[in-house]
Amino acid sequence: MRYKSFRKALALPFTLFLILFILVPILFIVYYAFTDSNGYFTLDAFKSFFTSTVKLNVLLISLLIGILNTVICLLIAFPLSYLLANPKINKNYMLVMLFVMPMWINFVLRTGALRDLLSVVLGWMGTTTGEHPLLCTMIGMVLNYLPFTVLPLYSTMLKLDHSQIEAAQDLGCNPFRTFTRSIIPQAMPGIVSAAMMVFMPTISSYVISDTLSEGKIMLFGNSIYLSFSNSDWNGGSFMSLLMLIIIFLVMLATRKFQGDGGERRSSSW
Amino acid sequence: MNRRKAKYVPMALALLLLGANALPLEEAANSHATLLRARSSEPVVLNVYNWEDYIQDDEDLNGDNDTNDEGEQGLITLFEQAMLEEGINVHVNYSAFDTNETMLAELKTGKAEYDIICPSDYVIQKMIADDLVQPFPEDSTPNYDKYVSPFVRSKIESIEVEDEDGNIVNVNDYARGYMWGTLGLLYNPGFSGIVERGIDENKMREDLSDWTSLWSEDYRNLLAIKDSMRDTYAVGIMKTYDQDFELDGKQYEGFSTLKEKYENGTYDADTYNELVSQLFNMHDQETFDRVEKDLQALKENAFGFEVDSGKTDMARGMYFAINVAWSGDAAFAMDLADENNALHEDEEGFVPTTLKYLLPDAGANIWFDGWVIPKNAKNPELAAKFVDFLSRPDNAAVNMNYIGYTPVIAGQEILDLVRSWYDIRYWDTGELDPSALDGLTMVDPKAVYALSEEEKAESYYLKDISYFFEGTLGEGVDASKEAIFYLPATEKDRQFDTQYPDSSVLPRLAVMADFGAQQNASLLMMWEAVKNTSLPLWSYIVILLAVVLLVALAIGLKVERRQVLKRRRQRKEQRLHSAEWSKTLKKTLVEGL
Repeated sequence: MRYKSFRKALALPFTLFLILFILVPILFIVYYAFTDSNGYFTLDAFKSFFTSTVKLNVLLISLLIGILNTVICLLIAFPLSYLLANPKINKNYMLVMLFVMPMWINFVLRTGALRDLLSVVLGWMGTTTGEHPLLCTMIGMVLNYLPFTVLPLYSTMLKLDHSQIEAAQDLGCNPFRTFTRSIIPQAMPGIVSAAMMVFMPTISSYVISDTLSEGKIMLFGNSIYLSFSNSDWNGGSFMSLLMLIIIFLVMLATRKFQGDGGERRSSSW
Repeated sequence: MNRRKAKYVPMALALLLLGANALPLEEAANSHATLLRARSSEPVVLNVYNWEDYIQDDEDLNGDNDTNDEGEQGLITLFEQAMLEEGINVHVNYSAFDTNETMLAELKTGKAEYDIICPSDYVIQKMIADDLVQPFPEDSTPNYDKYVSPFVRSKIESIEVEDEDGNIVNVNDYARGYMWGTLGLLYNPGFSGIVERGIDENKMREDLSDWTSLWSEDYRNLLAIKDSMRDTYAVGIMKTYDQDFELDGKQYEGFSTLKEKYENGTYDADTYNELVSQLFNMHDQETFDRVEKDLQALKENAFGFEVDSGKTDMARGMYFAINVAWSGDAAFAMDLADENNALHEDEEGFVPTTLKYLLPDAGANIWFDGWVIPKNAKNPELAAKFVDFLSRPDNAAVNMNYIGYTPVIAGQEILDLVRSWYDIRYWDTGELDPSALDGLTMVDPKAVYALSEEEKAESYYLKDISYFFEGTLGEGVDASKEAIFYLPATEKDRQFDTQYPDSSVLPRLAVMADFGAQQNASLLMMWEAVKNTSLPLWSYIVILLAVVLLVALAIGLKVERRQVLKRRRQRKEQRLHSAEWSKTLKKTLVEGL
């Protein structure tokens, strides 16, 4: 009995942490999202967001860039981590380390260095970074989030059941069908968690787009920051809340793909 | 800023020694007693809220008796010591903010308690109107009153504010200036893109004297504008209302016309300044819409937006050749570029970067930051003492040397400091040395541009900034004789011209007022529309199609899955059925047998 209550007490710091730093801030956001500057209840922030084509457009562009970034990252990281998980190619952990290493360098520094590098490369082609804000932003996004995609995919690839792949081949699947019917379903949890690691931070990031697009592309994160820095706390809070809801919905929609190995095999489709 | 610092160190030492020697013996003993008494008492806390990097400081602001890396004591420590000598034990609690809006938001919650804050001009106006600040105690800042430049004082006075009861208030009762400057164009005539397009320095300077050149194809992708709502709006309106225009059925004169009429004598300097300020501060919805269109076009033409990185990019000679810049940042970038040039000058193939700054002809923004005392301040008297301490010309000189912005304080020490930096006659020793002019020829400031580089190296021009020092140099000193600078022709449009604009540009400098809460919200919407990236129409159609396809696919998959399940169930039932049937058969057979 004493042992049990002791175990419960161990959870206390974490519960406190959750309440103080996650729950309370969210409640504040909700409060500000539905009040005006005098603290009275109002739906003004809601109305002004959904009637503003500019803000809706910013949201749309953020979602598009988020999806594009996720797709590109997955396309690059999937074959890469498949190869890395092959012990013949990757004899020790070194190669994985090399791909993850950029994460250890300060992110602002890395983005600044990339800006200089892009400027030199584009300079050779007779153009400048300022003329291609979208291209530069996408390059920056992919480079920054690729390690986050490689890691979860790599760890699922390590756990791939090769006998199942062989069985598929034996039973007459061509390579494409083996891939779609055996490898992808097995790697699904990795794909989903990799996509989550990329998609959600991309929408809310603003340093990369600010630096690499020379301030020409405004993402949802920039828009929220702009509202707060111009004393529009209510509008900014509403947008933050909206982003929370989007993230929540995305997580809900992808929940069934995440789970441990046992469930994974039975949920192949 | 190396040159400045190096020149300044001996001077600071001399000042310190002078202060120590001037104290007679018995007074020293007396003050020692007060010192001891003060030290043992409970310290009074003074809460100071200032911009980041906006004061000459110690390594550790809240530590005791710390010195910075050059062995100088910070102004805050010096203030605490000065107060100890007066018998007050003060502890300065210094904090910094990064934007006016953060500061204001924090202040409005009412929880933050500060004794003295340093916001920008338009925020001071807003704070007075919203009744957030209190007037300075009467005659509490004798040094400030004595040494503030009359020019800046009149600019502060020109801000019109009504308090909550609708009375016009004098901003000078509520605020004490700190630093001031302008918003102009920093440019790099040697930038590779400029050279490639065959634009020489004189053409570039002439072009940039006109704000509308920022929209010109010649400078496409070579300029960076501020990622800051009000500053870029200021640039936009200079283009939108450059020519005469009509608004609400009324005919207005544009900036260009005003300038012509001032030059041909139709308007005197005061009227001209008033008209420019009025036009500059237009803030109705129709004006916002027009400016938005122009800013969209400017965004297309610009390399990009920046707010902090521009000065270092310019100093490195990278990315862009023109930057809308605050004067303090411009001077900082020039210093940085000069240092960089000195460091690399021996390297082969190194192209030095020489930056220049100008204020376009049709008008520009002049701004200042100032100290105000919030309503809930606990120590208004002490806050005023702090401001007064910073307003002593020797301290203002230390500050200017460190921050690089121009203090609103004039006075002999500031004049000496600035002279030792810029005036050829004072360069080597800080003392007047007329022989420095030997072998140089004097030219008219306007003629400087026509000279070749070799000729420039052998010429100098005169610049009169007595407008700034008038009446602050002590009795019987004639500023119009003292505040004349002898400057090398190579320094035209460089640091000195950046920090102290020529008196001829003063009539066209306008202070930008606060637009009020409602108009600020509209301005923010306009700004977001400018920053927003709109896609071409076809991409929206493609997106819509993609979404429809995806939904159809999802539904299709679901239907297919359901059918598969259904068939599976049917098979199962059949199997069960047949199993049952065979059981019955068996049973019948067995029974039958």
